[in-house]
This record gives sequence, C-alpha cells and structure tokens, in this order.
Amino acid sequence: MDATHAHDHGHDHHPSGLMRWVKTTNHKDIGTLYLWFALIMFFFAGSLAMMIRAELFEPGMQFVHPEFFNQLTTMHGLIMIFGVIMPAFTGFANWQVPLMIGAPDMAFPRMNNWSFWLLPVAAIFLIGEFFLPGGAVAGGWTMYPPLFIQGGVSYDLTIFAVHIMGASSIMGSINIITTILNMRAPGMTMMKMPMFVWTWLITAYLLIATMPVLAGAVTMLLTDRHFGTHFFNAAGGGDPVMFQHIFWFFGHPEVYILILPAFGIISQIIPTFARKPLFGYASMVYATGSIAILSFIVWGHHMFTVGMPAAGQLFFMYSTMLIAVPTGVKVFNWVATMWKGSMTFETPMLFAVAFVCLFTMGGFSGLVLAITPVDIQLQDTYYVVAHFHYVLVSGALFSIFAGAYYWLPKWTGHMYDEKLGKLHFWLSVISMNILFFPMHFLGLAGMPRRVPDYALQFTQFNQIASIGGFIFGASQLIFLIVVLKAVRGGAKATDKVWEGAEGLEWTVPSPAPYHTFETAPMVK
Amino acid sequence: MYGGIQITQTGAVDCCITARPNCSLSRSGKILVLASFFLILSVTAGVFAMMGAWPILPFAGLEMLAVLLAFYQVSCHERDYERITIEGNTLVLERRDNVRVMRSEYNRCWAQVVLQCRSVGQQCRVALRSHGAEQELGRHLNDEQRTELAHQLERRLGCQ
Repeated sequence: MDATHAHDHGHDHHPSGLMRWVKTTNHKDIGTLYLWFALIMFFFAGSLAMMIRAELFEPGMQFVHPEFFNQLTTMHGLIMIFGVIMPAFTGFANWQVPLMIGAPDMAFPRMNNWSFWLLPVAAIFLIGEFFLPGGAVAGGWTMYPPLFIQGGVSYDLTIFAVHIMGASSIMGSINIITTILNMRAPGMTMMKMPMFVWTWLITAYLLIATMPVLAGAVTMLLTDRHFGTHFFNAAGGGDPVMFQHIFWFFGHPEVYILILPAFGIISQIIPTFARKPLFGYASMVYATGSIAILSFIVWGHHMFTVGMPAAGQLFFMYSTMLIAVPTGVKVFNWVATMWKGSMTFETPMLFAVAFVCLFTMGGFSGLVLAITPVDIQLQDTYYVVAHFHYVLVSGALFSIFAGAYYWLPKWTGHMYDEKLGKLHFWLSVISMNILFFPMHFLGLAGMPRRVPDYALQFTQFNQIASIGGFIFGASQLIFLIVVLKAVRGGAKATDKVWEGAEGLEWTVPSPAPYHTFETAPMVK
Repeated sequence: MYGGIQITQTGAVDCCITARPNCSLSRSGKILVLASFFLILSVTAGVFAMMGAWPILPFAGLEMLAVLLAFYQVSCHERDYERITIEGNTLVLERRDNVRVMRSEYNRCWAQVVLQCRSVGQQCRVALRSHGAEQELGRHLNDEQRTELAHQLERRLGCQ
C-alpha cells in the first residue's frame, strides 16, 4: 500500500483586526506589542528628559517649578527602566527565544498575553499621576522613605504600578524559563543554545529572585503610609536605611536585568558581521552566570554614605570590583570575535561596536565609583548620572537599536533603509557622547544630581549636555521613520538576511510565518 | 527526555510503535532548577524577615508557588504518548493526553496511512484514514520522524 503524498495542506491561520492584538497568544504578536509599547514609552520618557535638559540649559529657573522638575526626573527614571528597557528586552525574548530554540510558541501563551496587557495599565497609572492633585511622584525612582511615606496619592499609584509591573515581569520570567528549559528542539543542548537565550535564561532567574524583594519593599511603604506600621518610619522606631538595603538588593540585580539581555543581543550580532563564530562561547556563558551571582552581593555600593562599617565598605568595594573580571572576559571575547574577522559595518554592527566601546567606558566609570572613598566624594553627583547613562543608553538602549535593526527584516519581511539607519547611528552616538560625557566633569566638579538649578560654574558643561540631549532626542525620530518604513514596505528580505547569520531563526521565511516550528527542527 | 519513535517488533508484521514528545529538561534537571529557586527565594526572604521585613516572605512564597505550578503544568504532559499496536488484523491507536487515555481500534486491512508534506520532507502531516475519517498521528514528532512513522505503517498496513 502506498502512502498518499500531497502538498499544500492547511494554511497559515492568521487572525486580524483589533481583537487579534487584544486576545493574541502568539509569541510574535506579543513580542511586537511589547516592542511598540516600549517605543511609545521611550518617546514619552524621552520627552521628559528633553524638559529636564531644557531647564538645565541655563542656571536659574526657566521653564518648570522645582517640584515639577523632581517629578520629571523621577518619572523619567521609572518609565525608562520599567516601561522601556525591560519591555523592549521582553519583546525581543518573546519574538526570538521560541524561534531560536525551535519551539512553536512560549510555554504558557495565555499567561504571556496577560503579562503584556498588565503593562499598559501600569503605564496609565504612572502617566496619569501628572494629572492628579500634587502631580506625579517626586521622590526619585528609588522610592526612598521618608519622602515616599509623606507624599500624596500619586505615591500610592506608583506603588500600585510597580506591583503590577513586577507581576508582569514575574509571569514573563516564569514563561521564559519554562520555555527555554522544556521546549528546546531535539539536539539543542544547553551549551548549544544561542547566547541571547542564555542571557535571557539568567535574566529571568534574576527577576524571579529579586521581584519578591521589591514587592515586599513597596508593600511595606504602603503599609507605612496607610496602615500605621513603622517599617521605615524613624518616628515610630523604623529604619529608613533598611529600605535602602532591601531596595538595592533588588536594584542592583535589576541593573544586570537591564544589561544581560543586551550582552546576549551583542553576542548574536558581532559573530554575524565578523563572519566568525563567537570567541569563547563557554566562557561567555560562565561569565554571564558569574555576573548574575556577583550581582547579589554588591548592593551596598549604592549606600557607601549611609554610615556603613569599614569592613562592610571594603567587602562591597572588592566584590564590586570583582564584577569587572567576568565583564572583562565578555568584552575581550567580543573583541576577539572581531579580530581578523571579515567585518562589514551595517547598522546593527555599528551599534554593536559602539556598545562595546561605550559600555566599557560606562564600566570603567563604575569601577571608579566602586572605590569607596571616591564614591563618598561622588555620591549623588552628575558623575553617577554619567556612569549609569553610559551603561544604560550606550549599553542597553544601543543594544536594543542593534537588535531591532538586526531582526527587523525577519520581523517585517522588508529590509530597513540602511542610509537612514546609519544616519540614526551616527547622530545617536555623537550626540549621546556630547550629552553624557561632560556630566563626568560636572560630577567631578561637584554638581549634585536631581537639582533644577545650579551654580554658575557648571553652565558651559550643562549647555553642551543640553545641546547633545536635544540632538539625541531628535535623532530618535529617524529610528521611528526607519521602523515605519520597514513595516510598510521596502526591499524584500531573504530567509537568511545576513550572510554570516547562524541559528534557527534564519531557517524560517522572512517575515517569520505566524506559526513556526509546529514540527520541531532537528539541531545537529 | 528525548522523544521520538520506539518500535518493538513482536512478529512478522505485528509490532508496537510508540511516539513520545521531546522534553528538553530531564527529571533531575527539573529538581535542580526548582531546588535552586527554592533555596534562593527562601534564603533571601528568610534573611529579610529576620531583619524585620517579613512582608517579603508571602511574596516569595507566592512566587515559588507560581513556579511550582508552571513546572507541574509542563510535567503533566511529559508522559503523553501515542501508541500504535498491530496484532493480527487489529490496529489499536492509544493516546495519552495528560491524564486522559483515548483508545480506538481499526481493521488493519482497511486502514490507510496518509502522508502530506507542504514541500518535500517539510511540514509533514501523518494521518490514519479509515471509514472516511482521519486521525492525525505523530503530534510529538518532527518531519523526519513523521515520514519514518508513515513508512513504517505503510509496510505493515493492508491485508497480507
């Protein structure tokens, strides 16, 4: 008896309309939602930053009241962290992880939908605070008591929003961990997984380990505010410094939650455009794991000035410096991957190279801040602002741009406009340095952060930074144009978009079909 | 646990073909992952509770519960299988989906195997056809294994 062979059975079922996006359980749709959400929030939080830089263009008060200025800095920080960087990486994870491991979808598609739709709710709470009596929160993104215990109704909304975003992160993390661990294609052992998948697995671990701590911290703030407890209220025998310990126990791993996926994206891009396999894959995995473990024992470096014993200061100083070792391993491996590679410099590679150089600079200023006596001098100055913006803008954000340019043809089926992409890169990289580099000098000269007015001697550097900021802000509109152009049309992208690209995601058509790997691929 | 096809020959045509899903995390791996979560969360929450920040404990507990539920949900389907047993003129198709076990019987002489691929060897579908109805087979298999399953059944179906 012969088997009946036929072709073209079934078809790609593809729901449409608004409800497709509301009810979708497809990892690609949810990834797209996350990425658009992050982009919208990026422009919102970016516009807050523009207002900050406008106010700081000259000494004295020009545009906003001091109270509103503090609302701007607080909301800029909160939204950029919880509303831009984290959702953008989660969007990448949703789109790429199942494709990279040969899974048909995430392990829990409905929970995936739920974890996304919690985010706009939290965003509405945060943005809505501006329209409440007393305005938005102005106590800093770190939510320190006693300021946070004394504020108005917007502080409650912030606590609620953080809770919701935390729940979303936890659900997303559980989903990613179960997907990566249980749904890898036959033959894809742990040490064959792409680096992006590895970094997200470790990031999800970090999220699961730290989110209850944040949830507990903000719950204690809430009970201190409304239920008469005194966890952090010194007037009732509470300890405001304990909040800082709890917060930074979450907050420092959070820093790595924001940068590990960036490492993963860069580890995918550099080998592609160097046309060489990643140098030291195993050491990259171990370095990522080491960074994650070390991130739990360094939180005290955020609190050198709270009155810590010398032994504690020494411990946190040395452990912080220790993180430079695995991070150095990673930077060395990226450079070694490029070494003698057949390199071309398309936009993703430009952003990846900029990432390696500028993230390293951010790392070095971090190393400077790790030294306790230096940190005591530089605590709460613009040096710290410069450091973490080098890490988060030229680190996390540039890696998001790199990843977006790298995978955009796979997502949309069209090549992006390379000229505009390069224009976006050069404007961003130059203006980013004009914006943040002078802040090192401002900090060294003693300009405190989170102030709307400053002494005259800081004027020139602030003006340079503001000009850089306006150029950087305007440059991001080019990115929006590039994305919209690619979505609407353009040159047809091939399955394997980049000559040196390796991995399962390049074996599916561009754009990736609505359903992929319904039959598991075999990884050799 | 690596899934795939297992064929046990019990006679000239009599056989038992079992297909299992691929589960990339082993039982020991699962225990290790859950233990690591439990250890990290309980140590963290415990230390903070001792410092007086006890509200972290319930959140850690809730999260642990969520992780356990997720892994339980995944492991529910680990023992799923599809088993085709051919004995004489009878073909028995047995399917386990979580706790449900479904069983259907066919006459070997009348049953046909259908293999449909969108392109050669790609995105294949295998089904058992009898009395005008089709039962899809090989949900847990990849294209290569589905093709092999179809060929294995082809050789064994029909009256000898």
